[in-house]
Amino acid sequence: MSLADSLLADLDGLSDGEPEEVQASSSNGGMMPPPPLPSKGTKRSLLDDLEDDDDLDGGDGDLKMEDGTSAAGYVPEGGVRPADELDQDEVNRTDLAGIEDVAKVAKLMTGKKLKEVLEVSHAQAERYALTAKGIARYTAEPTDMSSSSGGPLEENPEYHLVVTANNMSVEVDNEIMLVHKFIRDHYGPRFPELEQLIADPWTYIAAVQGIGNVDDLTKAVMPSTLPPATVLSITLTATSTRGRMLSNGEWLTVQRAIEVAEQLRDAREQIFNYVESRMSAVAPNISVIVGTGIAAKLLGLAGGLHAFSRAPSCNIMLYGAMKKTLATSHLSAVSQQRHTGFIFQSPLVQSAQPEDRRRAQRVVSAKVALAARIDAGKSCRDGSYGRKLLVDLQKRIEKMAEPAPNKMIKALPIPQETARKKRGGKRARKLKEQYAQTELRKLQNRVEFGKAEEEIDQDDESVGLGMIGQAGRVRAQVADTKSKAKLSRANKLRTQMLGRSALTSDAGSGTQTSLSFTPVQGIEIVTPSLSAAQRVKEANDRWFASGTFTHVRKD
Amino acid sequence: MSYFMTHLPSGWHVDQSILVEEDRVVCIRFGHDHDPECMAMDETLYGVSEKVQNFATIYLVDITEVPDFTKMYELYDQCTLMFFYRNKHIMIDLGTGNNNKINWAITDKQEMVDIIETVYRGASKGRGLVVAPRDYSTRHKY
Repeated sequence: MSLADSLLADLDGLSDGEPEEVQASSSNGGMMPPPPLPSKGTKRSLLDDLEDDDDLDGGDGDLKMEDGTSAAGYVPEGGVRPADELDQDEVNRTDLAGIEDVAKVAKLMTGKKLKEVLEVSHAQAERYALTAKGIARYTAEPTDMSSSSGGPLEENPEYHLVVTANNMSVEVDNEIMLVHKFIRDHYGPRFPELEQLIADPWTYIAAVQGIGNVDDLTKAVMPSTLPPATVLSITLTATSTRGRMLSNGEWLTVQRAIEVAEQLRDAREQIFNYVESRMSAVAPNISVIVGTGIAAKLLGLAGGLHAFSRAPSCNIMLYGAMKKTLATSHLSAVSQQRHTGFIFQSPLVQSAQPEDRRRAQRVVSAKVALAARIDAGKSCRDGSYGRKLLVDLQKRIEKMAEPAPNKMIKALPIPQETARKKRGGKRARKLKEQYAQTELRKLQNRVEFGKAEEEIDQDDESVGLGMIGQAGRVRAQVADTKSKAKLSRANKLRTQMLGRSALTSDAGSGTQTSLSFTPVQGIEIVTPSLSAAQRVKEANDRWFASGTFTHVRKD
Repeated sequence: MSYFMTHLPSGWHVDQSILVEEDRVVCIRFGHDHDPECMAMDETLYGVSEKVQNFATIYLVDITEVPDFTKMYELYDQCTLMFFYRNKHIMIDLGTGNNNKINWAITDKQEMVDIIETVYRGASKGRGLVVAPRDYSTRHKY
């Protein structure tokens, strides 16, 4: 077996494994696989969607986080989680050429969910436009959603519409991706090189529309929206293309797909406009910081502005984050982007350097929490506080990218040697005096010239007395009080107590007699200790004569 | 790092640098910039030059360019470091037997700072010979 063979075998094994994983994840109803994060492992599987047709046709429940599937992140009570983005690579890998009907790929346009959202939002927007008029409608005037008279925001049906519409926009994006792929697959036979030339979906679709299904590609009229450089490269490639004419049916399929794509684009635009206008009325300050789309996602997940404003910033940061699960644990931690949520996807955080993004996410979520409280309190309706925070955050994030300041080398001081001042104060002086040489010791150390010093014997050695007791001294030496050993206060008290107890004890001194002569009885022996015993006995007779408390004397 | 340090291009410059400096130790490294041992020494000297700037100044002298001192100071080693203070050569007892100079590369910066400090202390008290903080007689061990 050659190396190539073994590699092929490996690849086979990989592709075999994939459908199994899909099966596993589709078993939970294609509900809410991992959240929308820029990594592969966290995106939802395309095959997943294609397989459960009926689920999407049902049109509802797709946004709800019903059973809290293991792959999904934290969703607070009452929160709604947006759909997950599809993985671009996976979409590109899927071959849609076999599917004839574009409606099978883009189910959203035919489903009633999007229609409902669009209709209602359109109606609302128009009503709004009528009442508020013109440009001012995006910022000025408290609306029924932002006014305090209308009760809590969460009970407003329009608020739910905003959240749903915003979440729908993710799905619309997914659909656009799919339809683009669909068009590429079906238009491929006519002009296979075109998809390499144009990466952008809308430019590609415009080009397809312009070229059409003409006989000679070089004679095709390019739409004026295409950039001239692209037009040039298209015409150059067209001369040598290996494409063939599409059949009528095929061309019809492509045309229908283009139609659907345009519908989707319109829907997307409408949703964006709507969400933007509404979010800047509901939460102007949050919207300024993270943008309306992410603000809507956050509020939707938290279950309302008030619930969101009560959440701490460390939790806000993780809204939309993915939990570590068995299904994703085989992926590397780097690609998973754990502990990152919607805030992480905001343009503000993304503007930071990759290594600073987590730090940026933290500061942004802290400020979003503040802005949420401002919004919940219905102040700064024009978003001025949010703008102030945004400016601060931008500065902060810019600062993060700056290199650390240079370390200053501090020159060493000149090694000069000066006389050290050793003054310890009162206490140190006292200590020194306490152990200083006494006069007596000084005298002992001195010897008078030409005279033998007095000596005393101590054990088997003799100690010289020096000039102690020598003539010339009238008075006896007085020991300095400073050098006397001192008792501590506690020690003094203790010795006093000992002395007192010795004085007051009954025993008295050993020479005291216990014989006393009394005129009444002659000699009586008094036992001092007995008197104490008697006192006890007396007391006992009085109180405990009957024995213990348990015996009650009957009288 | 020798290109960051001040080179003295002639004997006159060397004389002046030693003469003019009033209250700082002048450390002069004699040798060649391209010599490996000098390179190691220069690295250390450059590293400490900022730190000791209050009490010492460091110069480099190329002994091919300035051969005037070769005989007087017996500069026959790859790398020689000498200390001067107020126009007086300060000797240093390193335990090596040669008290006139350091003739190997010192690679530890703190060691170098300590030596310069010791030289400054002794020299400012008027001593012509100071004792290095460490005994280098067995430096092959380190």
